[in-house]
Amino acid sequence: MSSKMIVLMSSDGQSFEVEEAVAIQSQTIAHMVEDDCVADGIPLANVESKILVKVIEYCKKYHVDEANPISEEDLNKWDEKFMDLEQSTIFELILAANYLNIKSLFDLTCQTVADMIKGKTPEEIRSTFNIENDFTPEEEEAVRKENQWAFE
Amino acid sequence: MNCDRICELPDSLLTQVLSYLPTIDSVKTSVLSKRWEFLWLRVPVLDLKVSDFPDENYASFIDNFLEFNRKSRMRKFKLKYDEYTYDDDRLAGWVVTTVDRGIQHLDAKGFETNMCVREFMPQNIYKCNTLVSLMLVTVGIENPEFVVSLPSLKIMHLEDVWYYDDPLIMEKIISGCPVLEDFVLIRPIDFCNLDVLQFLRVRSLSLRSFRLTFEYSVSCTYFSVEIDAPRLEYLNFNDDQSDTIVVKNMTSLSMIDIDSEFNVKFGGSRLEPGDLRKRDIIRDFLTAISCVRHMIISRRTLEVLDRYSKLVPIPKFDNLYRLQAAVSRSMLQLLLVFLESCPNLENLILRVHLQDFTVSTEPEQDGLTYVPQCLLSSLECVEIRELIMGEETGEKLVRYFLKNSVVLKKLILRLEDSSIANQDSDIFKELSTFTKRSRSCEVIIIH
Repeated sequence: MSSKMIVLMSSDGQSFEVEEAVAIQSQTIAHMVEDDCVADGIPLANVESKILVKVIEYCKKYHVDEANPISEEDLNKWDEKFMDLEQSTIFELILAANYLNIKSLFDLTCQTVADMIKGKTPEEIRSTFNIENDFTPEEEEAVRKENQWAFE
Repeated sequence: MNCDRICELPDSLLTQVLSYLPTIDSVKTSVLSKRWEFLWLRVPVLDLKVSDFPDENYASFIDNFLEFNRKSRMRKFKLKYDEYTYDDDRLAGWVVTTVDRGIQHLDAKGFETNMCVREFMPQNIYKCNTLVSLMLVTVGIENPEFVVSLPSLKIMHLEDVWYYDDPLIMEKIISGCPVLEDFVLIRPIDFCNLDVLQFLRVRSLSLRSFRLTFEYSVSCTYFSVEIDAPRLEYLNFNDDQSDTIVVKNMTSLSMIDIDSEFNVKFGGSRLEPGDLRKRDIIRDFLTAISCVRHMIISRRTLEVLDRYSKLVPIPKFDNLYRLQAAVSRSMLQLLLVFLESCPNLENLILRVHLQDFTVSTEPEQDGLTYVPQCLLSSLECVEIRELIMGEETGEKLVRYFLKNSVVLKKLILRLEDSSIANQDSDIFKELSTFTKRSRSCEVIIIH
C-alpha cells in the first residue's frame, strides 16, 4: 500500500520527500495540504536543510502506528537523545517548531532550554548562554530588591 | 554583543520558554540583562510554592502579578501550600480570578491546618471552556450548583479532596467532561464525614486511564464502586474499602494494576463457601477484566483470589502476555494455580517477599511439581526481583523455571544484596548445575 508523499523544500534549496501522514504533524503543513497548494512541493523559507532534517526525523519517530508501535517510555528516552544538540541547533529548532506549528516538538525544545535555566543562579545562566550583563551594579541591585525572595 | 543564539529569539518565544519554568526561576532571569528585566512578567503562568517565599509575602506577589496582567489570559496556575502558613482563605479567590482568564492548567495543593478545616474551591471551576487539566490536593469541592461544563478537560486528579453531601457529585462532574481521558481519584480518609460518597460511579465514554485509591480505614460494608468505561485502556485499582465492586464494559482494557482485598476482611469474613455475594462480585470483576494484556497484581490480591479459586475456577486470561506479581514464601503453589489461567503468558516478573505473616494452613509443599500450560508453550522471559541467592525460596523458583520452561529464552535475576559482586562466578557455577529444559535459555544476573 503506497502512502501519499509530499515534497518539502528548505530555505537553502534542498528537497525532502516525506509521507504526507508524517508531515501533517505540522499544523502549518496540514493547512496547506487542506488548501491543496502542495503540488509543486512546499517551500519552507524559514527552515534551512540542517534543521529540516531534524524536524523530519522527529516527525517520523512520532508518527506512531502499527508499523511503528512505540511506547511512551521509549519515546521519552528517544527525546533525550534527540535533544543532545548544540545550543544554536536547539534555538533553531524552537523557531522551526514554532513556524511549522508542531506542538509536541515545540514543547520539547522549550522544555529543554527551560531545563538549562532551572535551578541556576543568574551568573550561571549568563555563562551558559553567553548573555552580556548590561546593568550597572546599582541597577542590578535594584532589580534584585524588587523580588528579593527569588534570590535568597 | 557576543550573545549566543538565545538572544536572537524574539521576546514572544523567550516568554514561551520561561513559561516552562517554576516562577521562582523565571523571576531570576530579570537580572540577566536589560532585555530580560520584564520578560518574566509577561509569562502567563504562576507556578509557586509557599516555601519559595522566606517572609511569606506570596499573597502580595500573586496579587501584584495578577493585577499587572489584568488584561491577559492565564495559561497555568499552580500553587502548593507546602509549608504551614496562616491560612487566609486566599486560594479560592485566586482560583476565581485565574479561571476567569481562560486558564488551561490548574493545580492547587492545600494545607490541612487542623482536622475538619479545608479550603473549598469556588463554583467557577465547574464551568470553564479552557480548562485542560485540573489537579486538586487536600482541598474541598462544593456541590455543583449548576450543570458542570468542562468541555476541554482531559486530565483530572483529585487527591485527598473533601466533598459535601451530594451523593452524585462525582457523576455530575464526570458527565460534564466529555473528553476526559485521564482520571486519578485518591479518596481521603475523612473521619469527619464518613458517610460521604458511599456510591462512587465512574461512567465515561472518553476515559482511557483511571486510577482509584481508597484505603481501608473503616470496618463497614456500605461503600461501593462502579466503573463503566468502554474506552478504558489502563486501570489501577487500589480500592480496599468498597464492599460492592462492579466493573463493566471493559472492552478496551489493556493493562490493569490491582491491589485490593475486595473488602473481604469484613464484607466476606474469610470468604466462607456460603458467601455467594462476594464470590459473584469477584467472579464478575475477573470476567470483566479478562481481556487484559498486561497485569500487575499484589500479594494480598493473589491471596484473596486463591481463597476464591477454591469455590469457583478463575476465568482464563487468554490475552495476558505480561504478568507482574508479588509473592511470598507460602504462595508458590498459589502462583502456579494462577498461571494456569494465563495460557499465553510470555513475560513473567516476580517479586519475592520473604516476610511472611500469613500462617499457611496447608502443609508446605516440598517440590513444585505442577507445570502450568504457559511454561510449556509460551513463557519466554522470567524475571525474579529482590532475589537473595542462597535463600531457599529464590533458589526453588530458579530451579523450577529452568527445569520446566520449554521455550524460555531469558531468565533474569535481580539480586537484592549488592555485596555479592565478587560471588557472581560462584552463582553462575551453581546455576550451571541446575537442569535446563530450554537449551537456549540465557541466565542474566543484575545487581
